[in-house]
Order: sequence, then structure tokens, then C-alpha cells
Amino acid sequence: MTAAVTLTNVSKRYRRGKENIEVLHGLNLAVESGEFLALMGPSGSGKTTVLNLIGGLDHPDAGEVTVAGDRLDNLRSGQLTKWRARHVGFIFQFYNLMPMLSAERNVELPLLLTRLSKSERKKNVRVALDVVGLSDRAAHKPSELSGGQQQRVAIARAIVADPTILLCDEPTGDLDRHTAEEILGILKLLNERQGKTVIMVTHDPKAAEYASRRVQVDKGQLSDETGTA
Amino acid sequence: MAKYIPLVWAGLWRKPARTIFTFCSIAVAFVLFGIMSGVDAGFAHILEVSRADRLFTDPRFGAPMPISFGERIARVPGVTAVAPRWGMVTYYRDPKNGMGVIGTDERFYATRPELSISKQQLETLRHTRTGAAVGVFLAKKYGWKVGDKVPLQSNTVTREGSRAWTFDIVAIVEDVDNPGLEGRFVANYEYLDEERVANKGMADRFILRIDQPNRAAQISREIDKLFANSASPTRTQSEKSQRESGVQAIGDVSFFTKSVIGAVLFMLLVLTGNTMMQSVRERIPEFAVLKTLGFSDKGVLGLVLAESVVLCALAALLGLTVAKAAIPLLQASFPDLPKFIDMPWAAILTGFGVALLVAFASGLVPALRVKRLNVVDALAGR
Repeated sequence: MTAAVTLTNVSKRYRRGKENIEVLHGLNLAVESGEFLALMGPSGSGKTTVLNLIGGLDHPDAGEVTVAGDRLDNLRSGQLTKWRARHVGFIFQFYNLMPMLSAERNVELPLLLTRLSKSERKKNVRVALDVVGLSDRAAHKPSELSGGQQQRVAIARAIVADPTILLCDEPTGDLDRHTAEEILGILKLLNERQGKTVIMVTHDPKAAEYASRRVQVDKGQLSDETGTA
Repeated sequence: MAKYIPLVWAGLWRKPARTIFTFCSIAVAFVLFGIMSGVDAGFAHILEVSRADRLFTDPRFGAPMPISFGERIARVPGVTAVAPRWGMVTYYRDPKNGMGVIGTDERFYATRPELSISKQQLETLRHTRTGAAVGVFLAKKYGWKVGDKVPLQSNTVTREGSRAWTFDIVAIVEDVDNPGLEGRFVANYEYLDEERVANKGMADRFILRIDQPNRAAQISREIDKLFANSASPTRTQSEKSQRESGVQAIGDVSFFTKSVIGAVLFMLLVLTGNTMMQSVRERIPEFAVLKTLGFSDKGVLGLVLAESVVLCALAALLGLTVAKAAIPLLQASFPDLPKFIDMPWAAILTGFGVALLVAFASGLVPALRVKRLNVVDALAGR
């Protein structure tokens, strides 16, 4: 297996008012291609920062970030934007769908950045909605969908452009247990059947059980690692 | 680009009430913009079509002038035509349908070449004592046609002690400078003069043509000098200078209209800018998500500007269309005035240019804010 993600000696500081907060210091992490990794840890431990660095949303202050064969720490902002569109699908805790757009229009958003024709985009959107079992809700707006359905739309949006990696930030944090399990089941399916590399930040040990490997982030470093694979 | 339209449209309808109110405000502002531009263009048109080679000799102190003044004016070097005029206030059927009747003769048309009347019609007018040539506007308004007998009521009493004057329409006249707007009712001076009781043999104005417009001031002085010591001193000036001083008497119309337009644009800028700023502020997380998905900084900047442009352009389209439709109605409300309001296509294009300018100016600050948006902070709600 090849490494989909490698973080080497990564440090990251944030400035909050007059304070300089070191969120990550000398963090090392490697994620194999096709792996389902759960990043766990207490609030403020740096989990989301790790996810942002892997997703090319942020730059490290020091260290190397290599994802899908590209050194992200060397890419400029504009290059990172293009890279994200090609390689990463994001799933957020609060779904972050466009409230005025229907489910299918929401799913179509990443495809607007491609050269696909309207009919090709429509076809891909239908496939993505099929995967998450929401074809019959394509024309509904987010406000007409339940939390679980909205998160499924968000997953469809994340996979529609066929990214290399899925990054999930507390994807079940806003859902009840039953719905959370449905969502985690879909993520597991995408990982096992389609070979997507999934990196999921979660507080929930039950959600983390769906991952093939779990790592603890604490005080800006990896502190513990367990695997089921 | 078309694929982004649903996204732009959805952004606009995020808060429908706010969008509708802003849209209506911009549309109303552009109605005002259109009408003010129309007044500005109309007054410019009045001055543009006014002639420096046409002079008016009027009584200096109000007392009417003897008709014999015309012969002396005609002898002044440079004068090519002189027509006497007597104006009579009348109305047709109802006092609300007021109109002025001009008593003159065929020389009137030599001083006003922009009025289209044939030699045959002139001949008929000359030989029909009660004949009248009416403007197309009046003919259309009252449904008159050649051969109609038109009774008018006037304050001027006839020899029989009546206030009713009857005219036979012999021609319908068009003004090539103001198509469709010619509203004069021209009758024979002889008829009016013979029938009236007072002011016999008098004129209230002489209309002149001169051969060299650049000599207008000199000829005017020479004419006024002729009658300086008479019982009816005169005041002669060109149509152009008379209209210019008339327009100035109203005030600096151009300054007034431009001030109103300026105020309207400033208001629009603030209004649209505020709407766009508010709209963008509320959607910061949504723009952050778009950037996360791979929309570039320039892409989201373009989306915000496109929203602003669509809002302003559609509202301007509605506003300018309403203004364009309202202008003929406004003009028709003042049939006795020359074309004082006009909205050429150039003014509509200027309106669109202004709408785009307002859209860019008001959308730029929020668009730049979105462009510079830090995705990590925005997603974290900071």
C-alpha cells in the first residue's frame, strides 16, 4: 500500500488576540491509501487543524505535508484551491449545504469547477445520490430534509467529483445514534467498496469503531494509536 | 458561465423580502433617473432645434403693435420674411380643452420652414377666410380631419357679440423637428382682425427670418431702434436667445437634473452596497464552503459581483422601461409646451452603464471581503 497522506514534523501556531497558540508541534502521521482513519482527542487538541492541513485549507508553519503525492506546504493558495477540487471531498458536522439550492444542485457544486457537460454533471449527480440512497429527494431543499438526509447529501457532494480522500469533521456530531450509524455505514461502504481513503475527526468512540485505525491527538501530537485492520 | 446562474440566483433569493425591497428601490431610482435624464435631454433638444435665424419682435411694455410695423421691419437689411401674429385664447367644447389660436398669414410658414404644409394647402388657407391649419397633435387629440368645421369659445368677442368662433380645417401640419407634437392652431389674421371688436389692426408679435444668423443681435437692435420713440417700443431677439433666457429663467435645469441624478446614484450606491454587505455577511459560512470545495478567490468574488450586477441590471431595466413609457404621457400632459422631455436610446444606454457602475461599486467591497475570506476561520465561526 502507498501512503495517501504523510505529515512530517508538522508545527502550526495560531495567533488569537495577543496570544500565540501552538496547536501542533512536530506531529508525524502517515495514512495509507484506502485506509479509514479516526482522529480522536479532546477539544482543542488539534484534530481539526490536522484535517485542515491535510485538506489544503491551511499551511503548516514548519514540516512537510504530502497528500496524494503532492507537497501541499509548497503550493500557493490558488494552487491549493485547484488541488482541493481535484483530490478532496469534505464532510462537515453541520452539513454546510446551500440552503437555497436543491439537493441535486448542492451535489452538483464541485462539478461546476470541471469541464463536464450539463448532461454529464446530471448523470454524476444521480449516481452520487444513488450511492447515498437519496435519488427520490433530489429536488428537495435542505430545509425539507432531515439531519441524516442532509448529511447524506453532503456525502454525495463530497464524492461526486470522485476525490482521492474524504475528510470528515465530526460527521455524526449532530445526529442521533441510529442516523449516525447509517452515515458511518455509508462512509465505511465508500472506504471498502470504492477504496476511498477516509479520515474522520470524531469525539465519539462508537463512531471511531467504524474506522480501520484510530489515533489520539493530544496537545498537538499523536499520543496513542489503535487499529482494527 | 451559464452553469453558475442558479448559484447567483439562489444567492439573490436567500432573503426574498430584502431582495424585493432593494429591487423596487433601485427600479424607482431608475425611473427617476430616466425622467430626470429625459428632462435634461428635452431641454437640450429645445435649445438644439431653436433657430438663431428666426427673430421675434414683441412689445417691450405689453402694448400691442400696429400691423404697419411689419412693413418697416421687412425693409431692414437682412430680413427675408416677416409675419404678423395675434394670439387668441380659446377652448374646444370644455374649458379644460384650452388652446391658443394664432392669427397670421402665409408668411408665417416662410418663417417656420420646419412646419410641413403644401403650396396647395397654403393656397386653400389663403382663400378660405375661416380656414385653419392645425398641428397633428391637436388633430389626433380631437379627431379632427380636413373639411371639419370646428367651433371654439374665446374671451375675444366678435362683431356680433358672440364668443364663438368657427373655423374650417384646411390642413393638418407636421413639425419635422418634433414629430407628432405639433400643436398649433393657425388661422387667418384677416378673419380674426375683421371679426374682433378690440385691438383692430394690431399684432402681438412679428415673426421674422433673417439671412445671416450671426447678424441676429445687430438686426434686432436696428429693428428696436426703428420703434424706440413710437407708442409701442419693441424688443427683438432670436428664438435661440429667447429660449435660452426662458430656460435660464426656470433655473439651471441641467444643474438641477444632474444634482437629482447625483443624489439618486449616491442613494443607490449606499442602498445596494448595504444590501450586498448584509447579504454577504450572513453567508460567510456558505462562501467558506464554496472555497473549501475548490471555488477560487476570483470565482467567489465573481459570484458576489454577479449578484450585484443581476440585481441592479434587472431593476434598471424595469425602471428605465417605466420611464420610457411615462415620458410620452408626461409630454402629452403639457400639449402647449414644445418637446421638453425626451429619452433617446443613448440615455437608456447611459442608464445601463450607470447601473453596471453602481453594481460594481456597491458589490466590490463585499466581494473583496469574500475573496479575502480565511476559510479555516470562517468554518470555525470566527
